Amino acid sequence: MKSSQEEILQIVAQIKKGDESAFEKLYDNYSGALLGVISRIVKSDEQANGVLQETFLKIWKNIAKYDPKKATPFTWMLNIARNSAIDSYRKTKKTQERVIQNSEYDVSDIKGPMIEQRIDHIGLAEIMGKLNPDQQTVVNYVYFKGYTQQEVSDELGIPLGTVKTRVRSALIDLRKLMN
Amino acid sequence: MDTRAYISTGILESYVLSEVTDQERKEVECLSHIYPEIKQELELVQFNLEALSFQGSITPPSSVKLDILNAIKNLPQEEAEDTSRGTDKIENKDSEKKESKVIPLNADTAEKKAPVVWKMLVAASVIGLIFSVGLSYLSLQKVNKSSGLAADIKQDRDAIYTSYQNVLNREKQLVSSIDATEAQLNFVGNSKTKKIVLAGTDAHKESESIVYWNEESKKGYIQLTSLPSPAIDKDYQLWAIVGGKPVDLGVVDLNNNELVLHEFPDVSEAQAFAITLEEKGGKPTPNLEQLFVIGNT
Repeated sequence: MKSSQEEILQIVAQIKKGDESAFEKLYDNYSGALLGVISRIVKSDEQANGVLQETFLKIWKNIAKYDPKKATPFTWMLNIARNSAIDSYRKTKKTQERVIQNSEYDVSDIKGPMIEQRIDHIGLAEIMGKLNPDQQTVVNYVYFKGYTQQEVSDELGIPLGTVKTRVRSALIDLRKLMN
Repeated sequence: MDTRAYISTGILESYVLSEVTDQERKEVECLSHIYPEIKQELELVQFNLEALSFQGSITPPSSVKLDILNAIKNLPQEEAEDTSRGTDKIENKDSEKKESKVIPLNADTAEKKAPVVWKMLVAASVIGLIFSVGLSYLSLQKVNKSSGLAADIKQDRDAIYTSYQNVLNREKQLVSSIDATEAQLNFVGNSKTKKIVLAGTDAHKESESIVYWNEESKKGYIQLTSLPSPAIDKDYQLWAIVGGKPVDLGVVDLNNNELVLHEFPDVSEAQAFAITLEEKGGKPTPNLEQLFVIGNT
């Protein structure tokens, strides 16, 4: 179902020329993954769908700015999705009802009321539960709350360098756990 | 360069998450060009993040797809620009500008206006230089047939890295020099900036200076268009005449083109500006027999 990296680069090249059906293929390939990323930050279904739409419109509009030499297409799209989600989350933070997540990563929070239909999440949540507490904390903040590493450093009083190395080791361990 | 150590700081992850300064970003891009192990690791980090993101996929409702495909029909694509990825949250910590109150201008830049794009051109050409240096070094390596190939390659790469650091530092200097020039030109061009020519006195007919004074921001620059070099034990000192009395504005350091300041009081009421030649370090009151230039506001 998912195209190879080469195919994706070709699709992107087509989109740069304004090819709408190539754009549709991009959507089919990546919308699920991006919606997952967005949903972890934004929490409500409706809001997440809105951010997903916004993300893809930005992708379409700004495709000329994407430089394949600098990063993979997914990385570029991931950042658009993540930044849009963070902006959206911050705008509605005051009015939105949400579960306050403290620094202890708790798997049961993820299995709470908003995620009932989303069976896809659970595999990921269980994997995350297997990280060590330090890693869980940074992953919680960076991945689920949309904090930048600098913000995590400020919030928890940990040196920025330490936050970065923990993010790195968490990503490496998560990858191992997945295989 | 210890590439493993560099990688283990987590900077590549930060790059992928778009949480790097402009400087760090350029560094990662350049180093991944020079060191294949960094390029490989960067790719791996991206693929891992992608795999993780796919692990947590959520299928969106089909209505979202329809809405998007409809919306793009009326959404024009923007044209390419020459700088970085447009949608990042990159924090730029590079620009720290020192605020000096009275600074001499370089005489020959007063007429031209330096566009901001000069800064980017300098940066771009510097990076371009690195790439071409790096690439030509790497292609030379293919010719090397000795058995110490790996060590040679590492040495060359380290040399490139050192050159790269030097060029980066040079770029920093150039950029801050352009910034300073730009600031001065903007100041001079400002509509609220007054230009006051300080003409030579009878004893020093050839001397001249110009003061640019902005009434709104209460800042000024001095341009020493024509003053003889002072002796080793002497300094030029700038004064404002306020209410008939001279007010010390500081000593001019001809070597650094900067004014060594004392407290800079509000001289919006200045009737005139003047420069005298004083003992090194200046004096609290001027020696009027050594008055070189003076001009009324």
